[in-house]
Amino acid sequence: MQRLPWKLLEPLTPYHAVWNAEGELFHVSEPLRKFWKTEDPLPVLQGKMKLLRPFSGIIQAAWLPELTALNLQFTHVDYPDLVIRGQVISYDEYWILVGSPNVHSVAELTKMGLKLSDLPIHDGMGDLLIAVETSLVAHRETEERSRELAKANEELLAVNLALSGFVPPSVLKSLGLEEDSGDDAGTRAEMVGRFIEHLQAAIEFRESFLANMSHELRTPLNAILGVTEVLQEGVYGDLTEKQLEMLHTVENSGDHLLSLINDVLDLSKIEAGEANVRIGEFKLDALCDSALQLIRQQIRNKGLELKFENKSQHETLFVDGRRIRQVLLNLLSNAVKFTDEGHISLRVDDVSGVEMIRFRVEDSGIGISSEDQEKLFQPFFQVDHGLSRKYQGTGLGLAITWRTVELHGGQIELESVPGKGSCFSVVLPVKAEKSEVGKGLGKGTALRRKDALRADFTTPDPTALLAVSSPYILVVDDVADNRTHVVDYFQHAGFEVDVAENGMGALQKIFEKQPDLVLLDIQMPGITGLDVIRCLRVISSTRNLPVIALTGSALEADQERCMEAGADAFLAKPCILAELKSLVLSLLDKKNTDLGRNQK
Amino acid sequence: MTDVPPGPWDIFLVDDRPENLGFVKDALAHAGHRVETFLEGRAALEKMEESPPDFVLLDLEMPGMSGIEVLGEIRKGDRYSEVIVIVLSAHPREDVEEESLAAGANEVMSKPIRLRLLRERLLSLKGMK
Repeated sequence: MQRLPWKLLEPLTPYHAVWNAEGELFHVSEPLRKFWKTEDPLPVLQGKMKLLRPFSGIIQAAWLPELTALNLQFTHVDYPDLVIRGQVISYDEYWILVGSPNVHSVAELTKMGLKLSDLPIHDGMGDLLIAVETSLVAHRETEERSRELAKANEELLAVNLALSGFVPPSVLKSLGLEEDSGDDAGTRAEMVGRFIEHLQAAIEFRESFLANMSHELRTPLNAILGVTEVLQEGVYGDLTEKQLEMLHTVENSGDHLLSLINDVLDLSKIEAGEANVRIGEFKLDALCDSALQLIRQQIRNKGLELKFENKSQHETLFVDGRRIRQVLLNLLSNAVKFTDEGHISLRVDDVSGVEMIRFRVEDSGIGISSEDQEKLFQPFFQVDHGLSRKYQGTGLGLAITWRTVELHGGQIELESVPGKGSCFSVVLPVKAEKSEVGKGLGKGTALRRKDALRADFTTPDPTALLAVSSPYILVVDDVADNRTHVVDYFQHAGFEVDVAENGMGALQKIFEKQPDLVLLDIQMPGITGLDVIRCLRVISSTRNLPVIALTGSALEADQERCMEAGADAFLAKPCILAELKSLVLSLLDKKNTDLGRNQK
Repeated sequence: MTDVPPGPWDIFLVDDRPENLGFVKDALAHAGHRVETFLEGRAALEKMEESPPDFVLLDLEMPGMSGIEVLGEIRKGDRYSEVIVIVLSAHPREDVEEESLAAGANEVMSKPIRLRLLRERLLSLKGMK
């Protein structure tokens, strides 16, 4: 007689017991024995298996033929927690009792120490449990959201001042406000008006807060630094050497604090898109000279060699001279700081084929490990993070440098070998335009961050596009050049694409046309991308609209702010378009899945 | 230091915070200049009628008469056109700088004041460097 390999049954139906023709318990599956924590021989086990349904009692071999094709439930007398639902199958001279755990939620399963994967693979129970779980989560989320919504609604109602004409009619219409008649519509229009007014007030507050903070911090420093200087000069009498030394420390610390205040203010301004970029005509040579002038003494003091070479064909640049000089100075003083012997060089040449110029600041210093290279442009990052800092600085210089270059539509690259030296390359358009904020070469040549991709998504199914017939996306960026290449790319890939040039325009288009997804630049003047996201997330019709935040910054803090505001994903510019597309597809795919699930 | 010290000059310091006045006065007086301090603009303007100074170091944010208003009074007519006004501002912003220069300041320096820099500027504004 051919024997069924019982082991085969286990993955198919992990919970089973087999009786032979003689009516003896012949085999009990491993999962059951494991759960019942039993080493008991089969006859003992037979006396402990208890039928619960259709009738109750210790299972007798004689019952088995009668039980065939009936729905039954059984358990172990000592372990009544696990109830198995199943049936009896006859196979040759064997009787097989098969089943699966009778549970109603994942929590119940977990409580028994089982996992979803412990269920038979063809058992619908697993799917059912997932469905129940999903609906529970969805329910909880819905409740939470409606609470939020009610709160937002209250806030909006609380401010009830007239602001007619503030909100464009198209926005009102898209919010369904215009269709309402009478006082109700008026009130709600006012609410939206107030809401946007609040947004603007918040933006203004941020601005004035920064300015005030800087002012308040500077004021006490004035006396601290001034008095220190006067004391050192002996205006109040002669001092001992020790006293002078201590005063020097006070002065250094004050100076350090001052640079921190300046840098924080500078960085915040750039981040908030409020940096005043003043593009003017500057002689290239003079620009380099003035930066080198300020660093020459330091280079000499450390006994280093300075090399300068200008191979550019351009005599003049259209840039913000003060800021670009600051960029060169930052890179040069960093180079000096981290180089104890050898040379520092500044080389200038043209990037072939485009109207761009390249500054290279190279040193023979300690170099930067690839690990540190990734974090280098984050605020307050210091290369020597040890307890006894050898190198002083605010830790903001490179973050400011990075942003300033980006503000000009350029980018920074870094090559470095630890122990050998570093080379920072700054590529700038020969004629920067004020509007070029954040424009990059778009060729993916910039220092890219691996962690720029923050969304939790999987590689999209290539068939995803089939499910979404030409998706409709909105590209929001205040810089025309940034929009154009993204628009072209996505149109070519079969998307319908629309654009908006600022935050207000974006909100209008979103409410009006209801795109499937929004690619949103964060740094825009006035209503920023973050403001837009926050606004979308409090309005029910746009709460789940997928938004990919694009920023010129790869700073973790920035990513966090985007995600906190409610972005679905974050990419640092310049981004690889293919990468952006796959992110778009996966978010659209996810959106469709969610929709499908909600409709079930 | 080995050269003959410049001046002496008459210098007015105008700042509503006493702690900002003392050390500047002492430092400048130590170098031989005649320094007078004022906690508000009006008093400085009154004193100016008696004898105009070579320099006015003027704080911008003061209660009552603001620095810009004081500056406006000084530049009204050309009676005090010889008086050199240095505005000291704790707002390192371009618009503040522009506003001050437009109102007739000869120089805008940001606070905290660095005395070495201040001395250099005094010299160069007097055309001595």
